[in-house]
Amino acid sequence: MTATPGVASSDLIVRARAGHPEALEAIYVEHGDALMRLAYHVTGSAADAEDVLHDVFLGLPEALTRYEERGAFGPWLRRVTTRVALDRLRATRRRREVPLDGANEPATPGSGGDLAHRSELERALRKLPDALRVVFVLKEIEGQTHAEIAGTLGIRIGTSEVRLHRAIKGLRRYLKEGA
Amino acid sequence: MTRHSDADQAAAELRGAIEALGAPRAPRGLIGRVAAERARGLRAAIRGGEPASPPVVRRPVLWGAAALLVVGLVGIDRWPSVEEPAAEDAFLGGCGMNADARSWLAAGSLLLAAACAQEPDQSPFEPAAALAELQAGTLRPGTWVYELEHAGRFLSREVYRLTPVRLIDGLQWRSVNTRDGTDRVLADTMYYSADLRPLRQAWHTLRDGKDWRIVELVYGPTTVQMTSDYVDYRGPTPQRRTWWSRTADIPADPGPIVPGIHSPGLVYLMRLLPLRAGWSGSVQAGPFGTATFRLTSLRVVGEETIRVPAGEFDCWRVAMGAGPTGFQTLWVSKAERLLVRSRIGPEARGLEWGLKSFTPGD
Repeated sequence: MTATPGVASSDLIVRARAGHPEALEAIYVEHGDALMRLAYHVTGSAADAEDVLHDVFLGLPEALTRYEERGAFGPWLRRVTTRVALDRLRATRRRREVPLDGANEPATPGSGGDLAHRSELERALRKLPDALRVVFVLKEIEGQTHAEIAGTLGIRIGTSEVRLHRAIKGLRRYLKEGA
Repeated sequence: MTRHSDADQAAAELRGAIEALGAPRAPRGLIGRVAAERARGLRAAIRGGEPASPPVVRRPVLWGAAALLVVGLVGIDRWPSVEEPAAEDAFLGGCGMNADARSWLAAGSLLLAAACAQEPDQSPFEPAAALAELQAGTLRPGTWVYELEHAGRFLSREVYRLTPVRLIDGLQWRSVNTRDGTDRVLADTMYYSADLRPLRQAWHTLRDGKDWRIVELVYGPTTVQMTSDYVDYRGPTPQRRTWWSRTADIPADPGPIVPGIHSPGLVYLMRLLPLRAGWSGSVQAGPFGTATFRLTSLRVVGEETIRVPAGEFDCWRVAMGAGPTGFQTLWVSKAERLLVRSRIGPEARGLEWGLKSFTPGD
């Protein structure tokens, strides 16, 4: 459906905007895994990430009426997904003591790292306040700039930088305590 | 300088470690479920990227939002206190989705205004010349069973059971509907007046046998109140929490109302329409997630004999223009006015409901 990975054609956008199922499916095939990964890291839960993805695609045709085609589609879609994930995060008010979904834990063959270390990391991420974890995920996992993060979250660039610093500090402290 | 170096090094270590955690892949059946839900008229009001252009401001919408705002601020003291996250967690304070109920209400009102202001004015389909008129007295109880397929793959089995409810002051119709076939089961109950005007509806999305989301619609004379709740199972006792709530205005002199594109309401409506060669009429489809109804045109465009799991039927082929969601084709049996097939999208890759059985009720 798309000529270049990550770049949706105008025709595809037009058809998705009109709600054509095959156009939505093409976008889903192209971007679904990346969006799922983003939503999972933001919400910390596979079930919530699935709900986020569900809501994004359920509302995508209407949201596309606000999409300017001179911008890259992939980043726009990730920004939309981030905002829906944040809404989800706030609505569910995830409790820190609830573990990440063990049953839905992704299988990552050859990912490296022993199970104990992965478990420590998960615990550390879980302890991190949402605001800090989101900035960390967007910056360090998604590779967004502080300006992009600030635009998505509605905060100042300086605030984004401070939160990243605190997130790293917090993760290191939690990992050290865990050790 | 040293502190920055340490931070950069720590970030690099953590980045590598967290990437190694991986993430689940996008579930394969999700997009089919989304397509089916959109076909039924469900929408999600999500926040998109930057607006393409300044929204068209509609004065009534702004007045409505202002009214909601005032009501919310005046009545705020009666709101139950909500859990306040740490100050650091209020990261979207500027966008209004703070944990404070007051700003939540204010932001909700403004978002509602923004969403409605950008709603397209017109359906791309030309409405029929007149509102559809219903034939009185042709609605009968019964049970319809449909199979929904997407691109030829089975998605779900849908059962609509229509029964009369005799009240002191008249008759109502109750439709109990279930949809299964995925990991989530959708069950809803709809009530209609004797002339098939929707009265109220409650959708329950069940997951592992438990309530997951609940959407309720209560129809008044001029408005529809829509509330979407979810059940939070994370605490010691399950708690029902509101996800969103909004009000849709019912158009003046709306004609028949069809809740959703493919819904029990559409199935029952077919029994009451005076279909014949060349007939056309309009109905109001909705309300959709953006709290709007869409004037939707129905036209008899041909006759066809088709085969579905329930058997072979001589049908009217009806084209339905349903706003930006595309074009839907309905096949309605001439003899009993059964909706025996409906399709959205191309034949090979679209969504298709086929009648599996129909059992007349008592």
